[in-house]
Amino acid sequence: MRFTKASAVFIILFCLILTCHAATDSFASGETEEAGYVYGVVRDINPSLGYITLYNTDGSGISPDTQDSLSRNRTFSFAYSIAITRDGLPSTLEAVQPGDFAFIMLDEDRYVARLSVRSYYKPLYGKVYLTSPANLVLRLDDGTYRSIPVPADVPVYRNNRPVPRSDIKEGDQIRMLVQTNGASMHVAGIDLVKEPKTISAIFRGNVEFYDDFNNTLVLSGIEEFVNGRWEYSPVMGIRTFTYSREYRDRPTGRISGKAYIAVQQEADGSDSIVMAAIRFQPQYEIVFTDNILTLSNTLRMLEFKNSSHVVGFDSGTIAVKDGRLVDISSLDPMDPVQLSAERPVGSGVFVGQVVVSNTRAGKESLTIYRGRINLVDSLKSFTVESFAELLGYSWSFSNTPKTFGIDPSVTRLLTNDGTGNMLNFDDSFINQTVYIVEEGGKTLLVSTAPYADVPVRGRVMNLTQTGFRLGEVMEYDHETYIWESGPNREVNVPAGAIVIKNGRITDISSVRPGDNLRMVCNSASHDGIIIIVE
Amino acid sequence: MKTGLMKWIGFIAVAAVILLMPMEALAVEGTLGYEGGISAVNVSEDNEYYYTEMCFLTGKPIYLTGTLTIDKRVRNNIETATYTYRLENPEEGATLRRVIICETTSETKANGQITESTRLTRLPTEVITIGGERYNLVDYNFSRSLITDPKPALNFYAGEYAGRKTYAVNGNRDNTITVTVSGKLYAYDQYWSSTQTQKVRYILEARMMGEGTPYQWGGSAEVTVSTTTRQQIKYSENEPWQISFDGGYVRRTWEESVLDYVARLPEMDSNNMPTPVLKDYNGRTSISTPPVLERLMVPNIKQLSGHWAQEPVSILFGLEVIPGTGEDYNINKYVNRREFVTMLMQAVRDIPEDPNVRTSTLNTARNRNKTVEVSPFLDISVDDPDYPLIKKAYDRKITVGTGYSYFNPDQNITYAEAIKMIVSALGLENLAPWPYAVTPYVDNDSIPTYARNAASVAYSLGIFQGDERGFFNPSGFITNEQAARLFYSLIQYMGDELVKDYSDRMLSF
Repeated sequence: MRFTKASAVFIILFCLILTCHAATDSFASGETEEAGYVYGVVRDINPSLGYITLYNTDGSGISPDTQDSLSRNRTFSFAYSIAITRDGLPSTLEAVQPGDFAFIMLDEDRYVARLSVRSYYKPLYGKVYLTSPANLVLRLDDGTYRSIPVPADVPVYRNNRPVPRSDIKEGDQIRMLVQTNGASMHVAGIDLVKEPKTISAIFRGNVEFYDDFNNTLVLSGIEEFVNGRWEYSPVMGIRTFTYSREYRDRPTGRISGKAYIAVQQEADGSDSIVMAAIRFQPQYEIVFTDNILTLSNTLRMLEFKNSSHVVGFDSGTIAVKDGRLVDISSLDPMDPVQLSAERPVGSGVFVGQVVVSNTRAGKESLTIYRGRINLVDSLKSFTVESFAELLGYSWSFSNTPKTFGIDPSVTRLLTNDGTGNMLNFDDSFINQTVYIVEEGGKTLLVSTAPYADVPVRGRVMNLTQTGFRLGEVMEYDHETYIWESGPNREVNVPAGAIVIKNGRITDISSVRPGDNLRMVCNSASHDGIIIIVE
Repeated sequence: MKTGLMKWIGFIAVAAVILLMPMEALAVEGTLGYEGGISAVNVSEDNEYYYTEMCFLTGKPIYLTGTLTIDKRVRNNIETATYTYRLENPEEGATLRRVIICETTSETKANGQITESTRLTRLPTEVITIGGERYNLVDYNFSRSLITDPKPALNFYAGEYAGRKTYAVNGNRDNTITVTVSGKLYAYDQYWSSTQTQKVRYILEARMMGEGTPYQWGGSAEVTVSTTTRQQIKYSENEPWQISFDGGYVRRTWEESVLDYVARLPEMDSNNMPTPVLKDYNGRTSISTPPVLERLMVPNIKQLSGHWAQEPVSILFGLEVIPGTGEDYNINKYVNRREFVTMLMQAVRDIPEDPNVRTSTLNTARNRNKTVEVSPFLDISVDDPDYPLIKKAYDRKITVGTGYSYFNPDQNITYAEAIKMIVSALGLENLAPWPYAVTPYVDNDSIPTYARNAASVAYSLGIFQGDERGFFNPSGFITNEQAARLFYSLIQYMGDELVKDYSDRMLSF
């Protein structure tokens, strides 16, 4: 009898221990499992198979020996219909990401009845090194490179406005909102800098010294690489350049030779160095303009379409594409380049010092028309009785009317007095000959500037009060179809002149000495009426 | 007679106590004003700042530059601040005169956070003249709120302000320009750097009803302003060989402010009338003060000549984070808890006080009657030379000891303890999920739960990212070298990384 009692007590105790053991196995400490309330960091979620796995409440669950326990105790299946919120907003299972912190309410059958998660994205800053449809390779602030998978649906913003993915350019600084969980990384969005920092100039000069204390490089005999040529800087003697905080390389020891530097304009208007290479004085140097035929990262060589030169590159080669400092591998075949290279003593190979590519030069997709207005529908449209389109250097006439739309918030009016007002663009403009700049069917500009029919090419020597002085002038003779050289001349730019640079309508203030221009001038006054910076 | 005199003395004493009672001093926040401008301190004039702001009233962005004088007085726990602006832009023929007086009341909440609320005491005076046109401020609503979260090593601030200004053009109240302002501000104060950044949005609505054809125009602008006080430590090599010490480090301290704006305003025609075309403007300007130089002590650490940790150790000696002069410094010695906490407290330092607030302390009887000091730890006596720093760490919740009122000062400190203290000093543990994060370290599961969030945050901030194999090594002891690296990273973080987050990146994105 006593044995039976003892056995019964033993069995009851054994059952109790088993129950407790099972309970501790099933439920992590600290959870109020009885109420069906579970929380933790999401380790894995699979909406198709219908489960979610959480790490342990205390944040453990990485080591391999915990995987089994997580599968058994921290994996929950979804009920047929569940309410999901993410960061306080209604959401879907697909939006829940590993690394989120999840609160789960289980139903009586231990299915997930309610799921609420909070994301833990953090900003990741870097400079775009390479872009591809599925990935971005970033150069992080610490100098390391990181390839990040970026699905096509990741939104991209600039200035808090959505922009297409194609706006991400190599050399741009970006901010990514990322959430990492082990090896997986989820990108919630990408912000582009408000105003991409472009290279304001490329200089070279004789190294005087590096002032470590003031963080400046002191150069003499400074030349600027302007539009494919080295030109002497107007600053005589010595000039100092401060190193940008973002650029970390500094000269060490006592230095001499020729420094090649790319600079960006800082907020105070000064130029700061964002890339510098100090080389020996060049022994034999070439400067030329061409198109890239091939670029080999393995051989570190460039070959060109028109030239037989083979030019190597190294870590000191300054590569600029569309104004952005880029890795040279960002250049593509057929990109136009302006290049300065040297051949060191005893070497048969040129080494590129500076490679500049501007793929947006000229008027790009802008179309320029000329025509006489015969109908104006105020703030809606206007029609010219016939029109001519500027193709290359000549006008191509079409003896048919053409109607141009007016978008009051976009279409600008330039008159002989300066900026006009589209509110005043009415019947009084009928019979007036105007220039129209259009892009993709949208009228951007209407100008009443004087008649222009003389094509002129040249290089800006310097700016003047009313325009600029043009050198290396070539004039096109419509009768002989030949470009003939002309004398250097002052070009006056009237208020209504159309100035186009990098595919955008701008004004005379954006023209710089050294720019190559294509113009259509007035035959009598030689005023520049249509000025396209090449 | 005597009774009357006593009454008067009593009244004056009470008044003096109230008037001169020190208030919670908030350091840099506020030196930009709340008009979307930037400032940098003028060291030769008390309470005066070099100042620049943007004006959009004409439909074109115009820089206005000059001085801002800030005078803050505290009475009855209410801070009255007077902002006086004298600005001009000779090229545009523009001048601005503005005086704003506002009152700020603050309240310390149960969790130690301080909330502030600011309002105008009366209509500010403001007159702007641009190219012969005169803009008089005729109405101004303004309200500002701020929360300060004091942490052991930093004060974090976040706030917002909103207002609406109405200007009459050339004294004609039918011709008005209304500027609706809404701004957000973020700031932090600490010893190694301090930054305040404001993002201010303007909406302009002009109604020109008088004289000639009535017209209206509208535009918007966003101005981001940021001011930073920062430090940099540079090595200065000695040129003569026959000198008693090696080259040393020099600390440069300076202030820099940047203003960045983007605006969408109607293009003005040649008659200065608005056109329907919206024109985008953007620009940037800056002000900075010349650097102030300070030589750091040159330690005698010949035993580390050429060592990979020579530079951080030398700088930390110079900054007096590592105590002593270096002769007997052993880079491989394990650091005990006492040494670590004293070095940590020297690394984070005290938060500087607001230079513009006029405060003074009164030696009252209450202040004189000091209570007997009792150590929070049984094994650290109040006479211990390190007691003040350890007590300060305890008061600021950087450490709570090892339990049962013991601090265990001679026990070697582990990575888990060290990282927990560092992140607690920064007050940033909340960046990790509550209650416990999953860290990226390989040995995540062996990190004690009390240090897991700190470990995760230290990783994210770049202060500590484990060993070269990715292990946190929570129970590993820290040597002098590793402690030096941690403190050096901490100071770099507080000096550079926070500036990037609060200033550089907010200006760029």
